[in-house]
Order: sequence, then structure tokens, then C-alpha cells
Amino acid sequence: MATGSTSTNISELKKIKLTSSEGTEFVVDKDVGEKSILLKNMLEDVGENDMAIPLPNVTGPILTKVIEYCTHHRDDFFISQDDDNKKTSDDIDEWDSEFCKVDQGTLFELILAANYLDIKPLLDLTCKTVANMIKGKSPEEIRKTFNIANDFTPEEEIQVKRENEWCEER
Amino acid sequence: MSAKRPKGKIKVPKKPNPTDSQFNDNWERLAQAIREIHKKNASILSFEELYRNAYNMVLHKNGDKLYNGVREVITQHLEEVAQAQIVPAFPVSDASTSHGGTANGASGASFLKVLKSVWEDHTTCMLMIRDILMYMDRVYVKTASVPLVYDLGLDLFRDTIVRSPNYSIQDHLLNVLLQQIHFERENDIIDRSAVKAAMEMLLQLTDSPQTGDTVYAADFEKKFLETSKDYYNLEGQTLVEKYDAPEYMKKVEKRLNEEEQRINNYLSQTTEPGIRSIVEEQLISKHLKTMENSGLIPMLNNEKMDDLARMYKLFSRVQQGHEEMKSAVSAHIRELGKAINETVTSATTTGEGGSSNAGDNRSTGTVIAIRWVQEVLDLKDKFDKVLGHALMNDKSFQTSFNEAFGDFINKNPKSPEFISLFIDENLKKGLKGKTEEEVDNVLDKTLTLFRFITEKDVFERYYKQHLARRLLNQRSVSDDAERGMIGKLKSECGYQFTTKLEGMFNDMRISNDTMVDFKDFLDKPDMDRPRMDLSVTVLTSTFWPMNLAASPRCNFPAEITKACETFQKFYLGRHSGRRLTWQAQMGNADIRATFKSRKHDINVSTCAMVILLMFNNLPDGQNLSYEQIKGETDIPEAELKRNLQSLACAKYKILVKEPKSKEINADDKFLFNKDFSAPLQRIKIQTVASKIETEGERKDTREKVEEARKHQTEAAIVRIMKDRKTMEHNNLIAEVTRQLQPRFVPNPAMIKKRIEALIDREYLERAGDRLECSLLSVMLIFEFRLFS
Repeated sequence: MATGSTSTNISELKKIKLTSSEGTEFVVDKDVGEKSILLKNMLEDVGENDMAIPLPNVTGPILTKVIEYCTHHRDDFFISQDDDNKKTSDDIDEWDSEFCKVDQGTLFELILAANYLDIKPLLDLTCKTVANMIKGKSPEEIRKTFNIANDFTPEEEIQVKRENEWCEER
Repeated sequence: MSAKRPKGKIKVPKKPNPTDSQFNDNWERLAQAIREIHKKNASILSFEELYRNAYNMVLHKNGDKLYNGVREVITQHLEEVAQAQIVPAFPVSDASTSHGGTANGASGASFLKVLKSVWEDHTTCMLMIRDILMYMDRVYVKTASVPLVYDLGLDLFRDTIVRSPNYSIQDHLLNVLLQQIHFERENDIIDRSAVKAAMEMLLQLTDSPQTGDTVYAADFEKKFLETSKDYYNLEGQTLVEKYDAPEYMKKVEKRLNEEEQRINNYLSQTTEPGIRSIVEEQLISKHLKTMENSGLIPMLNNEKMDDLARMYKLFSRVQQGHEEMKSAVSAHIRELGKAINETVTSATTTGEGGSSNAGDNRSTGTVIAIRWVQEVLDLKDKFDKVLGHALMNDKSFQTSFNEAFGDFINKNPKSPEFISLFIDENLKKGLKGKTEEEVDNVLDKTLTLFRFITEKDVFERYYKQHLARRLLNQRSVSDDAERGMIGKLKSECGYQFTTKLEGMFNDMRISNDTMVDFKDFLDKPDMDRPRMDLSVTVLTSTFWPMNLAASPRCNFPAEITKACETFQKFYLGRHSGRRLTWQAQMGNADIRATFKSRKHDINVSTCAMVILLMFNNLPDGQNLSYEQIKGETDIPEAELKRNLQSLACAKYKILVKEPKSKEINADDKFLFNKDFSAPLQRIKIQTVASKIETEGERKDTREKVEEARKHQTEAAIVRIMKDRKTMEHNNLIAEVTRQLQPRFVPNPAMIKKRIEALIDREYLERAGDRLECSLLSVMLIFEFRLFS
């Protein structure tokens, strides 16, 4: 990223200030911040100023992770994957999967932050990670993974299993 | 969105638990913010906070409440705006006549300006609102399938302002717009930017999601086209009354340009076809006839190329335009052609009937023919020019013009003869004054006329006669020009058409060779040389137009007969099986005559020579009567009269006639004019010859042509039948017509008659409703043709 400094325009190196829910101030490059559509629109509407942008929905640690993600991907062009056929949870690259090796709580907060800040690729990544956690697991394993109590009665459970037999014949 | 909000049992660190009070609190803030935005106080608001409020509301399933709330706030605001800003700006009503058009226009324009600023404010606000409610657009709108908040804003604007149920904004808006356009059409200056802004506004508003039309199309365009139609209907009527066609067309062109400009300036391109067709319909289609009647002919007569080009361009816009124009111009051509034909026929009748002098008759005949061709050529030139300069060489116009030319040229029964005469005149004398290129040019043009002739066989017959005269009298100045002309005819009509003409040239050449040989033959010492030079041209009878059987008799004096016999002996000695027939009327002779004052070399026709030789043996002062001459020479009456006339009544009077008059009568007496004198040593006595045919000759030619056509038709029938073996009657007639077309247009009755005749002679036979033909008969008919 340092290599880009010679060629990068000065205006793009502008900094913006963000404040997490605890009041911690973060300073990021403008282009990193604009990975969030929310921040991008906001900057366009409000205009440039030195005021810190408060983000009361995001905690400091999570914001740190988000900024780490955005900084890593600052030069990427995100291609929207709205095409249904292309949707797959197997296309996560190494850095991203390493990035997602966090505890479940952090992962869910990341999802919330990505949704709130409108960072589509981060939202996709985190959701895919969750999907991969579910994939290939039995209901019991899933319950265990996500710490979900089984609220079916035994009768209900048999009923549901019968209904879903067709999809687990392997 | 693949991620659903985690809920239920999943442990989420910060789990919002919305309550109604929280919602109300959120919403109150948002509503307040929107109001502030409408008051243009957006700078005091925190974007993030509002976004978060909206985010939370949507997140907690209160999207519909948010959406509807926003709708209400905006509607309310727009209602206020309508009442507070737009209604006071309503233009002065149309009924108040005390204000002039301009005052009205100005108040209309200011109304538009108010509307424009309201619109601009609204769109700016909607952009801000959209950004705040981005999360709603992204999540709620999609699932609820309602319009995005910006589009909602547009729809609200449409329903509360443009189509306000409470105030007559719509009527005022449309009226003002139409009025402004009306002012501009009347050459007033209007505020285009205001009109344009209003149009753009209408274009951005959709009529309804079902049609996908814009409000512009639904509300404005229709009315605009209606008023335009009325306007141009009226305009068309007044303009037609006020101006003549060229001026009118200029106005129309201007109008068309103006409307196009208007489209570019502030209307939508989608309106373009509509308004264009209205102007075309009202100003062009409706007045096609008027324009034609009042303008086309004068424009053609005065060669107003610009106006004609304008007319062509304008008329091309409407469906029937070119058709109308084409037929009008063609009718005009026919009219002019008819006039040319009429001057010719009237001149011919006065020429033949009025003048008793044969010499005058002859010259007027030729002059008329040449004038006719020249006039037709001028006309052709003129319309070629029109076609090139004004009609962009439009092929369909050309075809139509050609048809018109063909029509009137063929209406003149003498046109083949005239055209041939014209060529004759150019090949004979024209070369002296003109360069070869010029002559070539004229001939090329003449050829275009030739193309129009349907009776090409008649032309061929005349051309043959004229060519024969040129060749035998050595009048054709340039052999190259002659051959060039034949080449042209050949490329025009094919090899068949010119074989005989080429044969004539061949005869001339062979005769020259023969004469050289004949001189050698005479130089032999044992020959009894005749006392004069004899020059003979041997012609193949089938190539030349003379009629063998009908060749006029003429008794040659003994001396000449002897010379002829010598040649005959020489010629038949070389070619056996040929028969020579002397054609006295085609030849000429040089005579040396001694008069009182001096000797003259006189060049006369063969017949005239025979007549003059009779006076040789006559004692001085004695005369010969017409009857005597006739009896002695045996020359047919018409021929004899012509020759006597040229000897006794023309410019050089070698003979004196008693009594003196211009005509030759049966009881006239002739005397050798010893007192004759002329400034030149050599004189040439032109035989008075009516080059343009007399009625009798014409009938004769006609009959010959008819006869030739019979043979050609029969030949064509047999040719076709030989190929097809059997054929239906109607198909056969069609095929024969097609094959003969290049030479003449046969009429079906004639073809039928020929078929009957062939059946009678058993060349063909009927097989049911078909015809059959046998090969043997075909051989016969081809032999038959050889002799014809």
C-alpha cells in the first residue's frame, strides 16, 4: 500500500475521523472509509469537514476489524455478485478466511457492522463464513456450534426428520 | 441479501429490543429532520444519526411505518408549497383581454419560473431524503416492492402538484406551455429555459407504472399535437391564400425547421415524428394540388431550379407527394409535346397545301422535321436539367418523364422519319460548321429520342433511304461519322438492326474496287472505248431501299446504252448468275454544254441528262413538247416532271418552257436556253426532290412497313413454335409481342391474323386449345424469308 503513495492523488489521501460507540477516535484514509457506502454517501452529502463521524452502532474492536478489512481491500473493485448462479460460499481467499477466524460473537458483530455501514463484500464474506460453519453438519452439530437449545418435542423432531429425509440421503 | 438478522436463541452482544416509544422517538426525529430539509436547514442535521434512526426502524420491522410516515410528511409539505407558492403565481387568466398577448406571456413565464424553482427544491430535498433513508431503500423497499423513496417523491409531486386535485395547476401549466409555444410560433421571444425546465420536469414524472409513459407524453404531448394541428390547419389556409407556391414552400420549409428547432430546444425527441407529420399533413399534403396548380408549371417554364428542388424535398415528406408531382410534371411534358406536335402538323399542312412551289415544299418539309426534332431535344434538355438540378436524378421521376416523352413522340406518326431526317441533315451538312464532337453530341441526343420510338422498323426504313441517298450522291461528309452512327444504332438495337446498313457500306466499297478493275478492263487496246466515263455502283438489292420491280423506266440514248452494255459484259464476266438492273433515278451525270457566252460543266441527274441529250440533235430554235419527251424517254410522269422542273423552273434555267410557269403541264413545250449564263464554270442542278414524303409515298412506305411486319411476325411465331413445339394461344401472343418489342409494337389482332395465316398454310395446326408446329414447315418459311 505504501507503494501507491507516489502515484496516489493528495485529495485521496485525505483523512476522515470516525468515533466508535465508546468514543474512541479512529483516523482512516478517505478511500478506505468510502468502502462503506454509508460513509461515502454521508461524505458526499455533508461535505468535507474535520468533524469526527460518530458511529454509535459499532464498538471499537469491531471498527478496528472493519478498518483492517477495508484497508486490505482498498484497491479492489468489488464486483457485485447479485447473479444468483454465481453465489457460492467456496470462493473465500486465504487472507479473508484468516480474517474471519474470530470468535462467534465478533463474527456476528462484524455482520451487523457490515450491514449497518453498507459494506457489501464484507457482509458477503462474513455471511459466507457463517454458511460454511453450517454446511455439512447435522442438526445436533449445528445446535452445538451455535449453542442453540433444541426446542422441538421428540415427536416434532421425528416429524421434521421425516419431512426432510429426501435431502440427507447421502 | 444472504444474511438474515440473527434472532431468537442466537446470542448477540447488543440486542436491540424496540418498543413503541422508541419507534415514535425515532420517527419523530426523522420527520422533524425532513421538515428541516424542506426548510433548507439540512446543515444542522447529523447524517449519521438520521441514518441510524432509519436503520433501526427498518431493522425492527417498522419499515412500512417509516415509509408511510415519509409519504405523509412529503405530501403535507407539497400541499403547503402548492398553496403558498404556486397558486399565487397563477398566470392572468386567458379571459382578461385587457392584457395583451405579451403581458399574458410574461405572467405565464413567471409562473413557469415559480414552478421550476419548486421543482428544483423538491428534487434537491428528495436527494437528501433518499440518502438518509438509504437503508430503507436497500432493505424495506425491495421486500415490500414499493417505489424507491426518490421515485415516491416524484410520484407525490405529480399527484400533489402537477395533477393537484385541489388546485387547477395542471390546466394552468398546460395552457401556459401551449401559449408560450404559440407565442414563439408567432415570432415572439419567449423564455425557453423556463419552458425547457417545465418540459424536463414533465419528462421525469411517470404517468403510471403500468404504461411506463411520462406525464409529458400523457398530459402534454397529446394536447400539444392537437393545438398544433389546429394552428397549422389555419396557417395552411391563410398562407395558401396569401402567397404563390414558391413563397408558400419557403414558408413551409421555415415552419418545418422551426418545429425541428423547437424539438431540439425544449421538447422531447419522442414528439418529433408526431409534430412533423402534423406539419407535413396540414401544410403539404392538404395543399399538394394547390401548390402544383399554382406553382409547378410556372416554375418549370422559368426553370426555377431552387424552387423545384424545394418542392421535391417537401413533397418527399408526404406519401403521395412525389407521385403527384411526377404525374403533374409528366402531364406538363405531354402538354408541351403535344404543342410541338401541333405546330408541326399545322406547318406541314400549310406547307403542302399553301405553297405551289415544289422547291419550297421540300425545304419546309425538312425544316419542319428539323425544327420538330430540335424542339423535342430542347425539351428533353430542359427536363434533364430539371432532373439533375432539382430532382436529384430521381430514377422514378426519370422513368415517368421518359414515358411522357415516349407518349407524345409516338403520337406524332412522322417522328421516325423526322428523327432520321434530322440525323441525315447532321451527317450531310452539319459537319462543315461543327466539330466532330459537337456532331457526336447531337447524334447521341438524337439517339435518346430514337429510344422513345416504338416503331423502330419504320425508322430503319427511313434511315436506309436517307443513308442510300447520302451514299449514292456522295453527300455524306464523313465516313467515320456515318459508321459511328451505325455503331450507335447497333449498340442500341443489336446486330440485326444494322446488318443491312452495314451491307450498304460494303457495296460502296466493293463498287469502288470494281470501278478500278473496270478502268483497267477498258484500257485494253482492243476495247471499243465509250465516249464518256462510266461509273457504276453495284448494289445488293436486299440491302438497299430501292424496289427492283418498281424502278422507273428510262430509255437511255444509244451511246449510253452501249456503255452500259460494256460494263454489263465486264461485270457478268466476273460474276455469273447475277442480274443487273439499272436504277436511273439514283445516278447523276456531268455534261459539258456550249452556250452562247461560254461553256459550262453541268452536273445533273441521269434522267435530266437523258432529257438534255435529246436537245443535242435538235436544230436551233426548235422545241420539244412534253409529250415528245415523255414518249422518247419513257420516264414515268412524276419523275419526268421533277426533272423538267429542275431544268426549266429552278435557279439555273437550262431549258426554256412555254408557257412560263412553275408547274409542268402536259401541253408545255421546251426549248434549249442558248442565252444561259452563270458566273461559275461548274454548276450543279439539284433535282427537285420532296425529301419529306408526299402523302402517296407515305402510304406506300406504310404499306411496305406493314408488309415487312407481317413477315417478321410470322418469323417470330415460327421461331417460338419451333422452340416450344406446342403453346397456348395467349402465351404465344405475349411471347411474340415481347420478341418484337425492340422493333415495333405489334397489335394482338395482327398477331392473331398471322397465326391464322400460318395455320391456313399448314405451318401450324391446332391441338385442342394449343398450337403445334412441324419442323418441315419451318424450313420453308426461312427460305421464304431469304427472298423477301
